Amino acid sequence: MDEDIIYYDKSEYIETESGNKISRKSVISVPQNIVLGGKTIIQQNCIIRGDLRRKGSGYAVVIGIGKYCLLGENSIIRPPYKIYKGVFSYYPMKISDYVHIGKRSIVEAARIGQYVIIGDDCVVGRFSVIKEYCRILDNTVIPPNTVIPSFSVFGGNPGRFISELPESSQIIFEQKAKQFYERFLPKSQ
Amino acid sequence: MDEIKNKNKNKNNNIPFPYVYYQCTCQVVSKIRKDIYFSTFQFPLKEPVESEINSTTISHFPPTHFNHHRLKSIYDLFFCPSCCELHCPDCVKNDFLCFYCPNCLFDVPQASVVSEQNRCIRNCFECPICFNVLTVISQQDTINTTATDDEQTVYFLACNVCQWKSLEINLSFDKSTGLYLQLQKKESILPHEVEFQNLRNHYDKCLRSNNNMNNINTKRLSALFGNTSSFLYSPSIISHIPDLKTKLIQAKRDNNQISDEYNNSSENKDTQVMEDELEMINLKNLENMDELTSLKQKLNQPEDQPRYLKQLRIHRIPLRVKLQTKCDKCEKILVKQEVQKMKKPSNIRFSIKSFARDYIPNIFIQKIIPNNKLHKDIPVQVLLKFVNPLSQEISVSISTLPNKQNEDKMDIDMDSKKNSPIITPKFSSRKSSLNLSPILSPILSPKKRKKPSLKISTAPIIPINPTTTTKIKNPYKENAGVATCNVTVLAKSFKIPAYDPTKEFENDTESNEQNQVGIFEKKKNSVSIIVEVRPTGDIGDRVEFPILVTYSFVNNEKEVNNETPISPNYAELSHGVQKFVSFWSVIGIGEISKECFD
Repeated sequence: MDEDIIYYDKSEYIETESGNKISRKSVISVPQNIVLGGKTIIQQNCIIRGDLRRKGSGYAVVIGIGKYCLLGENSIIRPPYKIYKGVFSYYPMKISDYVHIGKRSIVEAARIGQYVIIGDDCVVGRFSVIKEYCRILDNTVIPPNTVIPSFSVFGGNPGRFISELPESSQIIFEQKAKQFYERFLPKSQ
Repeated sequence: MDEIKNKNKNKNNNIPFPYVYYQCTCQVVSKIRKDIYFSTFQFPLKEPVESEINSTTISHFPPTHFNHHRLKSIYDLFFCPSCCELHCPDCVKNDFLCFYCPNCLFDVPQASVVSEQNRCIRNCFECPICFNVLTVISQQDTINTTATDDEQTVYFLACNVCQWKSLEINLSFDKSTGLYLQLQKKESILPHEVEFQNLRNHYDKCLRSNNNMNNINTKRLSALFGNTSSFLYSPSIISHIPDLKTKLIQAKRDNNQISDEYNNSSENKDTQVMEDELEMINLKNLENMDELTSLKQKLNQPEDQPRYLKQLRIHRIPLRVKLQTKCDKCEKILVKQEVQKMKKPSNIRFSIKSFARDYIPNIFIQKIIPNNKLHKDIPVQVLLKFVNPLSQEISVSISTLPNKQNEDKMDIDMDSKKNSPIITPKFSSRKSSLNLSPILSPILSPKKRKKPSLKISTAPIIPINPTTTTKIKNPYKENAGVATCNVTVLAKSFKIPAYDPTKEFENDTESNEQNQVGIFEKKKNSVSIIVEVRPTGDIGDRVEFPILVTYSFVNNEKEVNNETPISPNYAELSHGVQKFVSFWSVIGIGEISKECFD
């Protein structure tokens, strides 16, 4: 059955040319350093830290987000940092296409592959790598430096491998992501 | 009482509403096997004749509420294009495609998997306390010394989760790479390793000295356990192979020079002997429980199962495997990931994928009108959307379970089901009915068992005049556990146009042609039909009904693009022969809620 349409207040969201829908209530620091792939939804009270970048001048992509992504309410996207050879610095973060990040989740991953669903209230630790077709259950804490291979379900605190996903998950996730974008419509006055 | 009943009910059928689930062919096969068994009481269970499993057979085995947990969503099912059958994850064969480490994602060659004990041979270790991945840290990083850089730095492993450090068990490394090799040296002098080595050497000697052992097919054994031939003669393996053991005993009698019994005291002086009393004293004097290991931690190290955290060792990360899926019957590969050299584990493309959703009509519940709570005797209209994924036009015919008026003469199936208590599995209730004709199992003689239901379930494929509506009653009624409903399908058969990827982005054009009765709308490659459902059960009952879908297609094209042909019997199909495939699906729309009084 078709899922219900999610209506939003038209005045609250900005729609860009490539179809991104960004809430005015979200906090996006230094948007020059953030790249959105199009048809991505950024919901209210989202915090994206484009200002946390490596030292040095000039333009740099700090956070890259693909198409058909969803950053849920109150989620925090923050680039990972570490001390390397005694120097503290931030590293860029890449989020691929069809990635859903749930409400109140904190993401500090180095890379998130395509077709990943991160549940609500999760913490994805620094420099963790999530490969394609993964699902992070609600309330999961992924420790720093974890690698999550394709087709796996992670859950718990600390996040551990729980089960494998069927091969057809690509279709399901893609449908889900596209349908969510299509269902996310402005409220007609 | 009722509450408990309801609870149990929910336990049995916990698929959330609304849903469309499918019954796999293997369910039919297993039912037939049970029937054969109960009619003949013969073991082993005979496989039903392959050719018997066709659309007619399938129509005889509607899904019951007993096997609801075996129903699958379309995304979980595979479709074998050569057998034209559905397969669920329970009835396919799986083969290893490759082994890889889930942490470093490196491919491990199959030959070294056995010798490396199924664990990663690179720098991947798991924490003995919380089982998370350990990271290499150099002492320099933490202390942040500004000392000379070429001085020897000590590396150790640390856990990001529980802050455990390998220094706690006095483990550190000189180099940050090749940790396994460094660790291997330390591990090889551990008592259990030494013991194992001794055992291995001993049995190696035994085997070599016995001429009789030549008779044993070592090739077969090594094929089973891998190529490290000496590795497999561990006592546990030998004791598990009866043939080998008798041969060993025989060999011992023949050749008494070497005793085959492994003499524990003679060879291993370094083996730790558990000193119980000392252990007890230590445990009694414990001040802090934190020093002890948990059960999980003990079992992670089964060789010695240590009591104290200090005795824990770090372990390499166990490998994971990628599988390929094959058809159980014809061994055709259904799902296979692309295998590229050097890039296997991280590659996620598929070279072969035969998912059911690309072959069978996809059924969706488009709408329930009115979309309110369900009440007894208030009919609702369910719009079922059938989507054709094939590049040919298909004809679909639908039938539901037989009418109530026929009930007296009805299929044994229904009869027995009616009388059966709720919990008894279906096959046991069938037994009594089958005893009437004990020799003939129902499936081996489908013609002799001519029942009215046969007519209904093997619904006509060619579209007939659908205006005559038949009221069909679900025989689930007598099964108090399942909600009953009257289901009326107006459009019993219809055609769905072929799927054309080029038209996907076109707008729908309203077709002016007169719609068939019972068809709500037709779009590119989908047809929505109207099904009227009148719930008749009690409050709290689940409204769900099975439908039998039979679809047929004719392969007109000489070649199906550059893909593999739909069937190896392609020649047969290209002559314009229709291919019929049928399956049962169960549609659940909700629970009956309290009656409204307005």
